[in-house]
Amino acid sequence: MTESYFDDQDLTAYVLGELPTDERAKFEQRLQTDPQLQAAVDELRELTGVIADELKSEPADRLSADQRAEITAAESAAVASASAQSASAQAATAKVDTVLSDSPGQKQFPSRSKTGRGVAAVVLATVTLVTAGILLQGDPKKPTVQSNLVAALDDSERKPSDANPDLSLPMFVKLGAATSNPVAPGRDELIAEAYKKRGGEKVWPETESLSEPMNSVATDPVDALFNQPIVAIQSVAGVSGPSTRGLVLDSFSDVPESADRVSVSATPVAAVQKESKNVGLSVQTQPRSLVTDFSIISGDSPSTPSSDSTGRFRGVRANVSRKRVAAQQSAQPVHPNDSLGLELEFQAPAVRYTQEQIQLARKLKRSGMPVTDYRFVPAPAKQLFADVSGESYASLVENPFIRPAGTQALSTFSIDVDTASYSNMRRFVDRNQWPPADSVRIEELINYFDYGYAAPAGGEPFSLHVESNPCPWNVEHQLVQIGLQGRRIPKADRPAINLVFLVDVSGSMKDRNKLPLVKSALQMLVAEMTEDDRIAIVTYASGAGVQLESTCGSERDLIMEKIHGLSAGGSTNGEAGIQMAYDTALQNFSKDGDNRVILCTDGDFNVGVSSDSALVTMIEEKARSDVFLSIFGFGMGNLKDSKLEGLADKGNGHYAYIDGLKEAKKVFVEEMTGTLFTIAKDVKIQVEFNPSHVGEYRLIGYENRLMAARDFADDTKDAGEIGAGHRVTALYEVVPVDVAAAAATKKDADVAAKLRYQAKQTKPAEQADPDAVAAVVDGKPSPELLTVSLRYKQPTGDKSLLIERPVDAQETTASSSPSPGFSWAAAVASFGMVLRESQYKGNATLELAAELAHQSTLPDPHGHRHEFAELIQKARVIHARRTGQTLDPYIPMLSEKDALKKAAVSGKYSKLLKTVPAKQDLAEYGAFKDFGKWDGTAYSGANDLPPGYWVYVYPSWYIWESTTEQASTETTATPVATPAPAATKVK
Amino acid sequence: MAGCPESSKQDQQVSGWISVALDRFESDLLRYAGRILGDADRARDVVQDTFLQLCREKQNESGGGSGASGQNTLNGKLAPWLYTVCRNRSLDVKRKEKRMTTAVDEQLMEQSGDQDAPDRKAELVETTSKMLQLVGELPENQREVIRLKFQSGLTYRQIAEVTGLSATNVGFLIHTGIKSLRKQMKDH
Repeated sequence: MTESYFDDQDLTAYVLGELPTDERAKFEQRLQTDPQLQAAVDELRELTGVIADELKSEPADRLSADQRAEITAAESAAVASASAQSASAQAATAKVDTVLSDSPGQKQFPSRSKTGRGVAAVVLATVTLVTAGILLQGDPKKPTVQSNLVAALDDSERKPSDANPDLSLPMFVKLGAATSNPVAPGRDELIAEAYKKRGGEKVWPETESLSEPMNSVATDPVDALFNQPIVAIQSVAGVSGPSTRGLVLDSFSDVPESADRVSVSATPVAAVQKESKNVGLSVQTQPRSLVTDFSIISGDSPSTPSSDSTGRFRGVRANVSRKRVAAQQSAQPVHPNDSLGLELEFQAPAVRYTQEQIQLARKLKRSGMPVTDYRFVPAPAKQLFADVSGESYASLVENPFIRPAGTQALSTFSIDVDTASYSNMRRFVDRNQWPPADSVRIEELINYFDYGYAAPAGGEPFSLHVESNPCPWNVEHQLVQIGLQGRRIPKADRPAINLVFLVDVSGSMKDRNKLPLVKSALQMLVAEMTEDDRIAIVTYASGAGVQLESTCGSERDLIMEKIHGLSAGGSTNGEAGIQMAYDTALQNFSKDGDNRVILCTDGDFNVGVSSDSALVTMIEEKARSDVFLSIFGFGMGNLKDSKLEGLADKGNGHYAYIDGLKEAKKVFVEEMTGTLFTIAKDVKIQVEFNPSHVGEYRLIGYENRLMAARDFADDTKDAGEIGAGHRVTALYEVVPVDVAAAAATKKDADVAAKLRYQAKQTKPAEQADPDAVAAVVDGKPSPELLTVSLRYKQPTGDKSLLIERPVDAQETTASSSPSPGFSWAAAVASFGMVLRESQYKGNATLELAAELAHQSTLPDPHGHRHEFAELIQKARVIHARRTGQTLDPYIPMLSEKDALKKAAVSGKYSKLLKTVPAKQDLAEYGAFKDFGKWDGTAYSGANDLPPGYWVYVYPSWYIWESTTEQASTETTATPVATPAPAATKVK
Repeated sequence: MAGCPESSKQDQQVSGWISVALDRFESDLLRYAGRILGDADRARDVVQDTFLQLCREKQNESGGGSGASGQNTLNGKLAPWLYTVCRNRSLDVKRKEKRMTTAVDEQLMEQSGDQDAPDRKAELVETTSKMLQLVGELPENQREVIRLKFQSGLTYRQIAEVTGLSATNVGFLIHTGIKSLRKQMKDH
């Protein structure tokens, strides 16, 4: 019966709003008289809604940052040639400026954005639809964004001036068919899209110091987004008569010029500000999508916008967990138009973007999440989309170059022995994905490796190692490597441990790479335990419970059995678990040993009512009881990297990410003592640079470990811990003073050349560096390049000890060739910078990283270096795929001497018998392979080869005579410079 | 005055404009081009080209004519313009490389678009894939217009402009596509 209606093309056109006006009127007449047609319309409307939603939910890609930058650059070129245009645009901007500066009570900070505007302000238009019910309609993608946002914001303590996070998100606001709305009769609903345009410039919260390196973000191409003059906009589409409160219809079918956009939105801002009232906003429960982690704000008091300077939302956050919502749905489907009856108060017009929000927006940009979404929703449609909780990474803004003037000559940071970022990066690369930039913390990549530093002498907890060489990615610069090697504790000598495993057994841990891996990892660790050690197991899911009371390490079977019996299910209550784990640890406190809670989780704490900051406070408190907290992240898809790192940091422990059995073995077996024994805590490094040698310096990595210079000597300031055998490496890229001066001169000259009213100067202005405050010692400039200072406390001490070590400029430049450790550190740093697409990467490429890694001859007993070399190659493949280039096979370019040195395998072999070129063996043996004994004869087309020890160093085999007999005759530290016998030509 | 030189304001103005356009269309165009090319990387190149072309177009306009009017020429036609250029470029690339959409490419594309989360994948399979799958099974021409309509929100007329079909024809294709989608959904 009704089926035939669906053959009518007009029906489709009507539902899609494509009927011409006259036909539309006719069709609507038919509708009046034909209820079945109306039913067909409803059905089709529903169906098309579903189609639209589903199609829009398809994964969306983004351009790469480079591609975007190129476009923006091309646009700027276009601008330059069109500077005469758009007087009206300027007028509009001017108008907005007025509005902005009129915003009441708004503190304005000097903006450092390179556009040079003096004021920074972001204003969000206020919706004042006094009587209209506003329905928020979920965008399919939004929950993802939102949950990330909420998580990210939760990571840091929220400052009072924080704006409500939801403001920075796109959302559809739908004005409900309020019967009491006098201005919109005859129309069932207004559709408004309150989307957010990112505010032009950054407004720092008052508490933020302007000297923070964050201010450099404006130079990032991704930040083009922020360099718009557009203020936050909210516009409302719909039938609003001239008498309606000034929200202007905005069509989304085309992208308007920003000038139009600004003036459009500015009007309502101005008009509405004065009459901001309580707005009844009800949150529409879109099944499975919207309410998830959505901040619902209930407001009651009428706002006083004009006097409120903070400009933030007030109210109660109600985080409805995903699981709960899902459960609700299955029991009772929620009608899309049901309202939760919660009210949202739009209180004040001024919204400050906090650093977190700005960083988050950048992060979202990079992760391909749509930050702004202008899409128009045609009809109410069923939401069919899963809420996705993503991974979250705190945004990092890389350290800039700093001129060592005044206190800026001091670079202070807390050490970081975490390695989670490395294994996490490996997970991405292994899955052929380029890791998100913010997941790459370069210091953690660097600290993953051993650099062969000398062990500390005597009772010192660590040795200090400093080396400086030309910077591989910028030859004019120097790269200074500062290394700390923690004292090793032989496994046999280690003190007793009192361990509490705190295992997340919530439902999300079910995956193969989570709980099962946790179990294997813990069993590995238990296998290393002795009878003096104590182990307890606490699990948490919906509730927390002690699975195994503290048990002596000798009862291995019982412990293993308990571990084996762990199973996942239920929700997550991490807080209760942590509490219980600490209690268990304290009950069995070992005075001379190490007391530690080991948390294994996929990172989703779902702490319920308590905020993250409360959790952090609790952990900080517990850390004072000398129980350490180590956190091991497992699995993926749910990893709250930033949160875990932060917690471990507060808990005086370290954070590692376990992506597989191999990594578990590294952490729990190979480096067990380092993982479990803290040899020093609150370790801080302060480097003072001598301005007479150093023009500029930049600390590579450690962005989230920076400390204020004055906190260095302040023992109450928490810093990183170092475990037995752990090592910490920091790299500084240093611009020598003459190079920096030359660069500055050139810049000045460029500027001078552009001066319009100055007579052209033919000779350069005299170059007296105004800030040359060369340190003078005994009437001469100090020969020192820098001084490294270290502060640390004994594991249970409260007073810090100081180690200082000045480094002569001579001393660093004298070293003839980089040590293997230096090359390796440079390799890892270049790799990290390329992964981050760092603006400071200079000439660093993946090939350079491969080259440097290849040059390094550090031993590789566990295969970690080999794996790193493979990761570089995988990254090259991903990179080639991303950029559409064809990939040249990587051929390491070792000099003959270096190849020979490498083939000698750290002096293992010394008498070379023959080399056999065998390029093709690269595929089978990789760039380097110590093959071992081989009986010779024919190989690779060459006959009568001598038996011996064969080492493959691309592109040749090196055949060595056996070691022992040669060891006595020729013991040279530097490999013999005898040229390898001319390679026999083989085909 | 207050340290706000006109030129810098101007810069911001327009780079703001391109950012707005990028934010608005980037993802949609990437999806559209990705469908034609079956390759996320090539789609990115094509979309980048499209935007670069847009910049050039603007430059030509403003260089030639009086500024203010030039600014508005593209306005109002931006969406169809972008899609048309993007479509033509995509087809060019596809023709040139004689690349057929292969299973591997599709996989790669999904991989790069889908930020991991196995549970998300499961959910997608569970709830949304039916419709997407059905859309995927439509004839090529219906599939394209339905995507342009629902994914990109173009009107019949704009779609006609992009694809070179008549608006009536577009209406018919969409109607037919929806009809068969409806039928198949009913059957399940």
